[in-house]
Amino acid sequence: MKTFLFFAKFSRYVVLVFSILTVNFLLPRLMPGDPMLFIFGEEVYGAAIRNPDLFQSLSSKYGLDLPLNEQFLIYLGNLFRGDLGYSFSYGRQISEIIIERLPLTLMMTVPSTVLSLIIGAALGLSLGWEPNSIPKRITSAACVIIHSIPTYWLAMLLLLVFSLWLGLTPIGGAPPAGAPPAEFVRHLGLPVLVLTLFNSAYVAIIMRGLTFEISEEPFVTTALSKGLSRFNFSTRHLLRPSLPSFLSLAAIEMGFAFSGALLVEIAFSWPGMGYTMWQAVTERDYPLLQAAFTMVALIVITANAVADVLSYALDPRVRLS
Amino acid sequence: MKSVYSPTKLETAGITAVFAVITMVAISFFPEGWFASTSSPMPYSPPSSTNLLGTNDIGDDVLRVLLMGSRVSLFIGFLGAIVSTVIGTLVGIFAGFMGGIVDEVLGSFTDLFLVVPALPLMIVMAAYLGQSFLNVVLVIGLLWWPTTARLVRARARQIRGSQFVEGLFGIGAGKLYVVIRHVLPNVWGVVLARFVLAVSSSILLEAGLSFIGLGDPQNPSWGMMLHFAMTRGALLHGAWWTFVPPGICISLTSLGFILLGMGMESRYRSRTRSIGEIG
Amino acid sequence: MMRSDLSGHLTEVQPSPGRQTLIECREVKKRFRYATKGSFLAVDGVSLSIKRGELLAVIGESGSGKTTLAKIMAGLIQPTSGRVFFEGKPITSLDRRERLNFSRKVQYIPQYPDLALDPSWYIYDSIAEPLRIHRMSSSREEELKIVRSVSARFGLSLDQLRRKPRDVSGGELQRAVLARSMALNPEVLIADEPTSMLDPSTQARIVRLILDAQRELGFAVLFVTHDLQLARVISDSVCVMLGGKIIEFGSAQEIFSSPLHPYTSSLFSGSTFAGETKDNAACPFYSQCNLRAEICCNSTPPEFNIGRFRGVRCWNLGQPH
Repeated sequence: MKTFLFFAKFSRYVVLVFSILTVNFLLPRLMPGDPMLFIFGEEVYGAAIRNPDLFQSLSSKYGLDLPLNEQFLIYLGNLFRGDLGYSFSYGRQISEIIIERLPLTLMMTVPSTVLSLIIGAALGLSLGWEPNSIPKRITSAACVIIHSIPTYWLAMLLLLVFSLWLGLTPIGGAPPAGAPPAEFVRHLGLPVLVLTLFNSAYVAIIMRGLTFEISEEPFVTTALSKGLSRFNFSTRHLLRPSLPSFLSLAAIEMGFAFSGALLVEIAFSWPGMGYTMWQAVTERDYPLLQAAFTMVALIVITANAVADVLSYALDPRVRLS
Repeated sequence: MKSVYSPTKLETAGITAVFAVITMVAISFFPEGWFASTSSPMPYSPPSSTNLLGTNDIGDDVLRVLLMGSRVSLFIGFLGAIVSTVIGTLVGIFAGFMGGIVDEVLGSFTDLFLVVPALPLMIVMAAYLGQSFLNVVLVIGLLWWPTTARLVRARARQIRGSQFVEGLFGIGAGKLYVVIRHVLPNVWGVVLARFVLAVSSSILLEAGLSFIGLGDPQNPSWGMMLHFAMTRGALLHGAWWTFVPPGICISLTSLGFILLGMGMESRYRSRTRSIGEIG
Repeated sequence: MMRSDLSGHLTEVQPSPGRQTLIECREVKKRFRYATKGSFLAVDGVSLSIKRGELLAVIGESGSGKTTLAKIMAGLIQPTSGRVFFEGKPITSLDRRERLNFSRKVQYIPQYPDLALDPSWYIYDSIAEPLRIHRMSSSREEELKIVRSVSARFGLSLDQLRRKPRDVSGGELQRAVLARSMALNPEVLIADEPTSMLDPSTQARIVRLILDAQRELGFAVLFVTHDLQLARVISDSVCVMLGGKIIEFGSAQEIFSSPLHPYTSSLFSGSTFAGETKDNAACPFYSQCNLRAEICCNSTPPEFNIGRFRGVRCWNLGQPH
């Protein structure tokens, strides 16, 4: 029964990945206009229109003269071989671009996600417990305020102050691949700060709500009357029971955070996935845009699946049965 | 229920911010005397008595662009929220009230949809659809309904299982009748609060889409102002007056609607907590 | 005073063979399945009939299945097996018109008055609603007249009708619920512990109102209760439920003056804690019975009939030691 439930949960993610690929496949083909424009991108399309041979070879590569279901198989086949198509705006294979840039995005999102989960959970825990003191109310309000500020705008403000006015940090971009780690830290300081601030605020809001809910339950009073210390009490009786729901909520939110990171990248000209998507939009480079989206979606879905497994493993109710 | 915020304070703050934006929209229709109507030949001129908020890269008065942008941002915010709330409410009520297979299918579809990163998907959709006002509204509306659907579904299920609905079937009421006359009025509170929160989200989403360059160039919004500041070098010029005001406007407007929505939600929750929890 | 009133009432409604049966259930069982696993047999093969004008009390402790039985008789839930008949026809095979007729003539009053009415509706509208559904008033004026008269019967002022459920007391709410059922001029009132959530003085008042209305309008009442004193005072006949079965039935006088089942007598003397005992014995009272024999554990006692309207499910009566 347990393993069955586990697989049922997991099959959802397989379905999700499959539907994202399907949407990706259908979007360029069903949008008004010539699908070839969307599949090859503006520039290649223009060249192909003028050159019948190129047109022929390209359309047979993607099987564009075939019925949709066969096209779909070709599409999936290309995908599994790691062939994401060709980006005219970079003049390179898309898979190469992705491999080069994905780590840059992870460099920014992973540290800020880890930091904000820790900071946010601790902050939320203390805010949710006896939430009515003045400093706690002010902090809670600050979290809501921070969460409604667009991250990329905050990034622009920090750039203005720290780079332009004070000259403390670089104005943007990434150091070359072989640069010393200290260079990366210098470039990543502000972006990670922005993302951590924003995500911690959100995580704290979630955790505060969960803690508050749990603190109203009768078992909490019992636990306190047993004379547990505050620290023991909060880890054992507040953190532990809220962890599973916290994880699944946090995972959904991480998707949102990832979206925020994309926009922050643009502000800092940090050449990760978000910056790539931005360039693709500007250049009308549809194949690159789609590939970048697919990668982002896959990462977010994987994060959710992992959180799901973790919360499943941590949920005492599940373990008992 | 005692919450961190007392609903009235929350709502006062929210309403104040919302009124500030509405005032901006109102002023944008009666522009005389508020800003220089002709564009100055000087790009990036700092705030002065003629241009209260300075000028941008093409010499336009920033205050004028800001006021015009308030219309676009607020309008898209409302339209996107209406579309997404209507879809979310219909899906939620249908799933929650029908139960069984319908609920299973719609419920898991909603849950799946929640996992998809919304903004990147919106970027892709908007890029295909092309830059227009209507497309931005559609993209936001069609992709931002799952949270609303989830909450409405939970509430509709609760009402479906409550004693008074059981009793209604007992006195011969039909399903459609119960949905329209009894379920809708009881989810109304959730729907309204979600709508207000959705306005905040749509304003932020629109700003994000415009920032990445997918807004309607004919109707520049606040997000579009940030886009231009980024791409046309206002940031590198240190022309802070071109991007600080729109950012403040976006933040305050979305904050205002969030506060208002949170206030409505907690007010609603404290009122309905006892209803339908037994049985 | 109440007593003498009622004895007069009793003689005129003595069950007689000529009396028309309104609702009858035969061998109904209801099994609830839990979401995880396992199930619970709430009603276990009950046959019961409500005759025109009688007041039948169903008594039993929590968990004895009396609420489930009441809901089955009211057509609110479907039995797992067995059938319910209304005026001689199975309720599952009623056509649209007959079904509507059934829902008009049989009214159910739930245990919790505060959950019985739509919290967002004015009480006036809730009382008028059945009239609207059944198109029993041709105009607003007529509707107002009916609602006013039926509310007056239950002591509700127009001012109270203009409020919402959360703005009136539990007793007022229960009177509104009663008025709502009475607006349809029903033939059977199924009242599921209508007074258990109210304070004693309000209880007496509600019971009084039901009895007065019954005497005037002549409908039958199925009164579900765990209050023995109340059942003794008001009812014509009584069924005692235990573990989903009716273990004894008869006229109120007979049951209360000479209980035959050991459970009934221990219930009256207040020396039982049944309800918790859910072992595998055939007789639900086996583990606590002073008179238990081996047969009580192994096979379910059949219904032994004594006279025309009296039955007991106990081996001691069929097979004296």
